[in-house]
This record gives sequence, C-alpha cells and structure tokens, in this order.
Amino acid sequence: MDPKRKKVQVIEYERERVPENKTKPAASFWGLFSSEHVAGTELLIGPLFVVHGVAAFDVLVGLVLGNILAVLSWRYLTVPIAIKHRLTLYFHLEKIGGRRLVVLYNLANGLLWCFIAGAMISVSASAVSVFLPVQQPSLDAILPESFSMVLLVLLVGLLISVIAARGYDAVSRFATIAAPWMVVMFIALGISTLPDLGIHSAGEFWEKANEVIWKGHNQPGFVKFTFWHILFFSWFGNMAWHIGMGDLTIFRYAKKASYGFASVSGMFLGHYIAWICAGMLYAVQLQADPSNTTVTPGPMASSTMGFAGVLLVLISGWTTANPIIYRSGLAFQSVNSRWSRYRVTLVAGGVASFIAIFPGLSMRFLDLAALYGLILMPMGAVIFADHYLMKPLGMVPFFAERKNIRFYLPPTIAWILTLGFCLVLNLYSGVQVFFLGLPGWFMAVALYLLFSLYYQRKINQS
Amino acid sequence: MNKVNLLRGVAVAGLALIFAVSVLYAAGTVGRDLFLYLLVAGTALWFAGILLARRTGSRSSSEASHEHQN
Repeated sequence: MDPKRKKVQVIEYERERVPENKTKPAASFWGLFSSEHVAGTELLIGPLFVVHGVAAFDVLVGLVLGNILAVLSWRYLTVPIAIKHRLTLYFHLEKIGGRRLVVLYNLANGLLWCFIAGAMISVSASAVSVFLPVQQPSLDAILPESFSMVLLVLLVGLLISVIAARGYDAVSRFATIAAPWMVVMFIALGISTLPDLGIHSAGEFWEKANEVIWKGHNQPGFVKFTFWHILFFSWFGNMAWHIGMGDLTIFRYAKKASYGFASVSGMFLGHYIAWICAGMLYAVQLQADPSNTTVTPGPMASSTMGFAGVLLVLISGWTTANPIIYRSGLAFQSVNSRWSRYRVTLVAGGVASFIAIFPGLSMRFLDLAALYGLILMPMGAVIFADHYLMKPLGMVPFFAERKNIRFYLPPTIAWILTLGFCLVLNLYSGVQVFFLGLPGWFMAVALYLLFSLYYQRKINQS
Repeated sequence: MNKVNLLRGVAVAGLALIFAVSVLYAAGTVGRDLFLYLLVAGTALWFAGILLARRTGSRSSSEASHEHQN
C-alpha cells in the first residue's frame, strides 16, 4: 500500500474507531452546526412557508417545538450510537449490511445530493440574475420558462462544479469564514424588513405578523400548512442527519453524548431565525406587488439589502452547493474507486446543473427536503435497531461483518419495503410526505428485525 | 499576535456595523442609501479583517516554527 495513502486513512479514521484522545471539544460542534445550518436553503424555506399559507402562531411556535425535537433526536438517538462505536456512517453500515449495501446507499445519497445542489445552484443563479435582463420563473413553474435563465443557471452550475471538482479545502475554509457573516446578515435582513412591513415598535410585531407576514392564505396549488406541518417539517427537515444517522460521521469525534445539544446552534440560528427572516423578506415582496408570488431569493434580497443582499444569496447558495456537489462526487466515486474523482464530481455537478434549470425544484423545495430525509431515514432505523434491539432479541448485531457477507439482505429489504409502505400511505391514505417519517421509522425497525430473525436463523442453520 | 487580534477586531467591528446599521435603519435614524453603503462596508470589513488575520496568523506561526527548527 502507498505509505501516503495509508497515512491519510489513519488520520481520518475511515475504517477504524476514533481514539478517545482524538475527540474534539464541544465548541467545535457548536461552530460546525451554526455554519452548516445557516445556508442558501433557508432563503427558499422561509418564503415557502408563507406560500403554503402558514399562520403566525403556527410558524413561530411550531418551529420552536420542531427544532427542540430535532435537537433531542440528535442528542438521544444519533450521538449515543456515534460515541459508542466511533465509526463513520459508511463503515457502520458496511458492518451491518456489507459493502454492497454501502454502494447502494451511496448511489441513492449521491443522486439526492444532486437535487439539493441543484436547488442551491438556482439560488446562486437568482443572485446573478439581478444584474441581467432575465425573466424570473413564476411560482407555479415546473419547466424552464426562459432560455436566458436556463443559460445563466447552466453557467453558474458549471462554475460551481469546476470549483468543487478542483478541491474542497478552499471552499470549505471560505464557508467557515463566511458563516458568522451570514448569521448576522440574516438577522439584519429580518430587521431591515420591519419598516416596509409597517412594524415600528415591538408591540406592533404580533399584529403585523398575523395581518401582513404569515396571513394564513396559501397560494393556489400549494397545500395549506398547519401547526403540525411546521412542527414535522422542522423536526424531519434534517431527518437524514439525526434519525437517519448521517451525523454519526461527525459525532464519532464527540467526547460526551451531551455534545448532541450543540445542534441547538444550527437549529435556532438557521432553522428559526433565518427561516423567519426569509419569510419576512418574502412578505415585503408580496406587499409591494401581490401578484409577484415567485420565490427568487436574489431579487428579493436585492430589493431590501442592495448589493450586500445579493452577496448574501450568492455566497450562501455557493457555499452550500459546492460541498454538496463534492460529497455527491465522492459518493458516486465509491461505486468504483478507479473512476477519477475530478471527472465524477464534474458529472455530479452537470447533473445538478441540469436539474437546476427546472424552477419547480426551488418552488417545491419543501417537498424535496422532506423526501430527501424520508428516503435515507430507513438506514438510520436499521442502525438504531441493530444497536439497541438485536442482542435483547437474541440476534447478532453487525451480522455482515461477523459472517463476512458482502450483501446482507434484511437492511435493503427493510429500506425498500419501508419506502413502498410510505408510498402506499401517501397515495391511498393521503398522508403527506411531511408526516411519513414517523410511521416509516417504526415500519423500518420492525421489518429489519423481522427479516433479520429469518435470515440469521437460515444462515446459522446452513 | 497583536496585529492578528487587531485584524480580528476589525472583522468583528464589521459585523457589529451591519447589525447596528440595520437596527438604526429600522428605527428610521439612517436613510436607505447610507444603510446600503454601510452594509457593504461592514461586509468588506468582515472579510478583509478575517482573511488578513488568518494570513498573518499562519505566516507568523510558520515563521515561529522555522525559528524553532533553526
């Protein structure tokens, strides 16, 4: 083995436990969460709550409760497993289901990341569009409406993809530097909308919140959001990371389980303050022209904060899209390590850019975010069941590793059947995508245990 | 080290400026044009301050390690 390669693997602990003396202080997790969860996506989510006709009480209180549930999910579901094993999500999954399961998971993850990156490319393109005579897409647009906008999105996507393919470090460092500025800019954004919304004192906020910002009237074609929609969206918006166990990779460096509470910084700066401020920004646009219902962060931020607002949209979209395209490239590359990472990342960026030309992606971003978490959630349920329930039920955890199996079927069966179950609930019982995570999680746990019981007996007997 | 702290101070002052000017704009004390200029100024202070502080910090630490090796 190449000694340099061996050195890198040892440093990143990709296929071994993180040693206790290599754990990181709590402050690094607080910083990481606040920088990761104040991103370009917030500029879509806040306005889309208004589009979905949420009421002021529902958004202000529902977000508090949903975010608390998200924090508790990290603290009590993800982190205890992360610090017990101290493994990456991928190595953990490999021990449970074998190498081929990880490949399958990476393909799904890589493709989903292309969709999220696509939304971020369109956010960044909307910032550039402020300086160009291009027609903005309408709220109900699914397909591209303007050739010049398609060209702009593809150019921005190409630029972001090339930067992502050339390396991750510089962009990652810039994202870390930009994070505190983005937090302050989001707060400033909310504050600067107050005069336009007719709020001149704290006492006027509640009245205007109900009458001007979150009026409770949904736009045609968008389902009416209630308190429960907001609660479940804010809880499950990051389902892939907490219940889905995506953050095992990060929290394997945590010294104590209490570090899971660091997620408070991301949830309440990004998923509370930033969402509310972005919603207020959209309300200003509607107040100025009620027929202008499109959700295009660039022009919205420009009208309130000028050039600094455009920079906020551009940087928050770019610093989110870039690492996602990079990770997507890595996920696809894991299918065949001989593929060039540079080329695979360019292909992932190309796919994301192509997806980004469809404005329906941004206008329906809430559905996409919920679907993203839902698709990856069953693997988190499998990890939970494997960790807590296998031994008490007389079964063997990490079965693929113990029996040297390359493709242990129960996790994959549980994954596919759970998604099928959720689809049936959605199509035949009318359960919306935002609520499917909870029944889906219990179904995934039950199916994994059931099929493990059958397969482990069968394999042990043979 | 003092220079690094000074540059970090400039960066934090940029953030404070952004926050303060948005509050003043909301209160009606500052006009729209000045508000927009000061937002850009605060942004420039933040990025210039923090990037220069990092550069200066990494340069002085590499010089220190070089002296240590000598």
